[in-house]
Amino acid sequence: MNVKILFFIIIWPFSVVAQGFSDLGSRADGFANPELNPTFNFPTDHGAHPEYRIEWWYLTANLNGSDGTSYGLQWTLFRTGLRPGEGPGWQSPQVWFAHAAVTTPGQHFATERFARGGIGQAGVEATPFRAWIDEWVLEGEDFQKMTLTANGPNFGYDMSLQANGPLVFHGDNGYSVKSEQGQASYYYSQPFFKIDGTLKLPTGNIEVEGNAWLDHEWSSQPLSDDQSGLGLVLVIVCGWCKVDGFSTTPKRWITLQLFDLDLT
Amino acid sequence: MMAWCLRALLSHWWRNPVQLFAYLAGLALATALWSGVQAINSEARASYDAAAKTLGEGQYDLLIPKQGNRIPQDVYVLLRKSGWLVSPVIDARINDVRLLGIDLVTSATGLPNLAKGPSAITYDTLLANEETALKISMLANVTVDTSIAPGIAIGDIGLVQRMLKRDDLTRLILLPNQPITQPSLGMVAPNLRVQSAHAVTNVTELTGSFHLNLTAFGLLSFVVGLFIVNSTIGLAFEQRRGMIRTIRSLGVPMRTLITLITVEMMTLAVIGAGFGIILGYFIAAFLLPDVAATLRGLYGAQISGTLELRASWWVSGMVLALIGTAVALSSRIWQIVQMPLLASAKPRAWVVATGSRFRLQLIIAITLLFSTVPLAMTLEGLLAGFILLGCLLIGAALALPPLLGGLLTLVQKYTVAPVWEWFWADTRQQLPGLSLALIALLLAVSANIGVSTMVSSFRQTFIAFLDQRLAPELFVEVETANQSAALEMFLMNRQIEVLPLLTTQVVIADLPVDLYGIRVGQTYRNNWIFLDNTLNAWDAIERGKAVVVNEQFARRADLWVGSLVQVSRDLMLPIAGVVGDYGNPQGQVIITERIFKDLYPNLYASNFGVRTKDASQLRSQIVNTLGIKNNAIINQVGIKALSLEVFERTFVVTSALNVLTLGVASFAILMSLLTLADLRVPQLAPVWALGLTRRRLAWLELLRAVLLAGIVFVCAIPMGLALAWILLTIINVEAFGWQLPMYLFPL
Repeated sequence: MNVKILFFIIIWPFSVVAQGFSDLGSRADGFANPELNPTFNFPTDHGAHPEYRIEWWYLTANLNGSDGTSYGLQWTLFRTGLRPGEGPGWQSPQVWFAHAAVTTPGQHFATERFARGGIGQAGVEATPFRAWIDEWVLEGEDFQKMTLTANGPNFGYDMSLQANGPLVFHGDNGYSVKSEQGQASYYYSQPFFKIDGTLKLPTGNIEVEGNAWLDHEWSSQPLSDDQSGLGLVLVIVCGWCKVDGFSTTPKRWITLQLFDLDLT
Repeated sequence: MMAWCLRALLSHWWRNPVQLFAYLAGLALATALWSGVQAINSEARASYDAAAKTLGEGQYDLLIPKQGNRIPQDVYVLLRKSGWLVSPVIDARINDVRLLGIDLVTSATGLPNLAKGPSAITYDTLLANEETALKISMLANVTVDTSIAPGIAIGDIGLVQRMLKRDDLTRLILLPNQPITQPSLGMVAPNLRVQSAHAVTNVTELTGSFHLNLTAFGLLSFVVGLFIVNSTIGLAFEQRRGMIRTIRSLGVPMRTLITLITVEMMTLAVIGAGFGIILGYFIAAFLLPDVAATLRGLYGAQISGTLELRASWWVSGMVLALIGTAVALSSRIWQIVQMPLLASAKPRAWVVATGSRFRLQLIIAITLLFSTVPLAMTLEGLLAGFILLGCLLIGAALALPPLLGGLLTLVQKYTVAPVWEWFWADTRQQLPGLSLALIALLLAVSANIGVSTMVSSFRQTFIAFLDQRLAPELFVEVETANQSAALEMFLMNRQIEVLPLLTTQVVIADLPVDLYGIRVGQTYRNNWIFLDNTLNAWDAIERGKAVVVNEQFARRADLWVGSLVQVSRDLMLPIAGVVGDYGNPQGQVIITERIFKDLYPNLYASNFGVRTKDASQLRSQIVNTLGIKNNAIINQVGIKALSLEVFERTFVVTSALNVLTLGVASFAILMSLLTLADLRVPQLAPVWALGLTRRRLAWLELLRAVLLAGIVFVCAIPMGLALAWILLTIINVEAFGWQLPMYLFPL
């Protein structure tokens, strides 16, 4: 992890808009807030919601090679809005970042990407579904059958996904409460993907298959005052991380295994 | 005892205020020009550093268009979506400010090192230093950040695009850590090419020689100033021999006396040098705008217009002044130590003593002067040029007093009238006291002649060069391939001679060069003058069998007429001609249009020279018929005027420094005469007593000064021309990469 990038992402959005992330715990100015009893409208809701402050699509997979070796894979695309809505070209207030990783029994490969919204470098479209940043793409005719790619300086992968179960809605039908003060998000998952494809590692290509879980969550004020704002930023910056549980208890609302956070 | 002793020593200065003034002023002048020049240099260096940091140039490879300087934004997005990690930059001028638009999100690793961190850049605010901020504050919100290089404003790419009313980019930074798989650049963006980080010409390197020139001037004036200091110290010690003898006889130990003298002189030196540094600051502030203009004109380097008080230059000025004083002082103190208690000052004895010194001086001078010939033939490089200059100047300086002495003895021998015989003898007697001042004058006058010759040679060559190069009456710049074809068709149909200019940047012989494709025609044949060429050079070039290169390229690559040049991977052509190309730091290789199009089929001519008798009518026709913007057409007269203006400003600094050095030298003469005047009363009294009127004596004194100065001027002419020759054929070639023919000044 490049410390400069970390610094930059933490600092930058704070000052870009007077109400930056420092304000995350309070009511979001101009941003929409998740409401109780949501009605999801698919496939549109698979796409981006720029009227909300933050949003992510993250996919984790447990894989096995033909020789039985276990591998882990992760692909995450984050969106953060400096202001609600869209703008023309570079004036778009949306910033995108992504993190991809592969773990082998002995090694960990990770890389990240950054992009501004509005110019076509990154985005998420609902029909047909396409989430992309640079050449990294998660796409398919619908949310059932998709392909996934990512590349880094020393690894990459090309995967295919096939859903074999329904979407799962977290919390109260997809309205997921984060704290007792009422902070909440919209949150659903597709935990039943069959996944297979090729991991491109320095040692060579490895054919793998396994199971994957895709989360899609968006919100505008996910933390209460007694929750750490920096914690969220770190999640966003260092990205993944493997989310394997969820707790609504303050300060433990996400269980993180931060990958290469190197602040020295 | 110490206090009384010190009072006695200091009383000398109260009785000789002129001497005190000469001492302080000599030091001040020596320090002033030196620290002034150093101040300018350090300001420029700081500006280069800031620019390198702000622009991040030379750190990363770049993607730049093969043609023109615009990249469609779609190409950027396409590259990113193909796995090319690049970050967009838009770079253009507005209101005389270089506006740099960057995307912070993607340039994360290629970020400029801004003092306040990237956080200071926001969507709708530019960053610039105070001076630049004033120029653009009416166009956008500007936050002042002193770490931003002068003349540059940085902002978010979106903001800068809006300010420029553009939707494209200038270049893409190729970020490190590209992904493992990516399609070739040719497949994704065939119109872009990679420019290696090393290929970017380094401003510090380019301007190094210019600053060395300034330093040389500073040093020259420092030396002249030290001459004044040295002679004043000498005189003061000579006059104080009696006092020192008395103090010693009263029982003050030698050690105490030396300590007191050292403290006294060094304290005065600190005061003098202090004045000099203040003066230097003003000189620098006065010259800086012109230096800035010169550097911008010659090298495109932007430096700050305001001066900061940096320790580097004022400390160096002070230290140098103190070392100079200490050296001058030590030899005098040594004399005091050696002095028999009862010996007294005897001017005549002094002259006799200096007689043997003169002989030694002459031997050293002749050795130095003769060594310049083999040095000039063998040594290479800028430093060698300066060593050569040093030998010439020091040799001439050392030779001057003995030569003058010899001349005076000779004249005296053939003089019969007693008054004149006295006059010559008396002049000889004054020679030791005046010689340092005369040397200073010699150096300053010859530097003046040398530099004036260089400037006037440069001027004549440059004007002739402009006439040669700017033969077409109109220059038209087009933006698209369609416009290019339409313009050519339009002009061809009217039977107007058109000179398309194709250009791209390539690397030839490991050097970044501008490769030009030209249409060889009458204009080139009639106007271009080769420095060296083969027979029928233009025919060979027209047939595609040879190339023309500019002198800068020829010198850097050491490839001259007849040498082979690797134009592309499969094409090797001989050089048929070398052309002078004054005022351009870049190397050039010129081939015929046809070969250029074979090599780069996708490039089109974006610049055209047009030969026409009625420029204004054709101009309006082109604007009206083809829709080419009026400001894309430049009149020949306009370019010439602009070029000459750049040229004139280039030498404002040189001539200003020249005048200042001459001023310092004249001051040295004046001071020497004034300080000598006191001493001369005992010499003049007998002559006066013999019946020479005061009026006559005054005239004789004046005549002597004019005569000595006249002889020095005569000696300075060959010196100055030799200096000009070294400047033109050695220093200039090293500093700018081209040689100038020498035109004798003031002929």
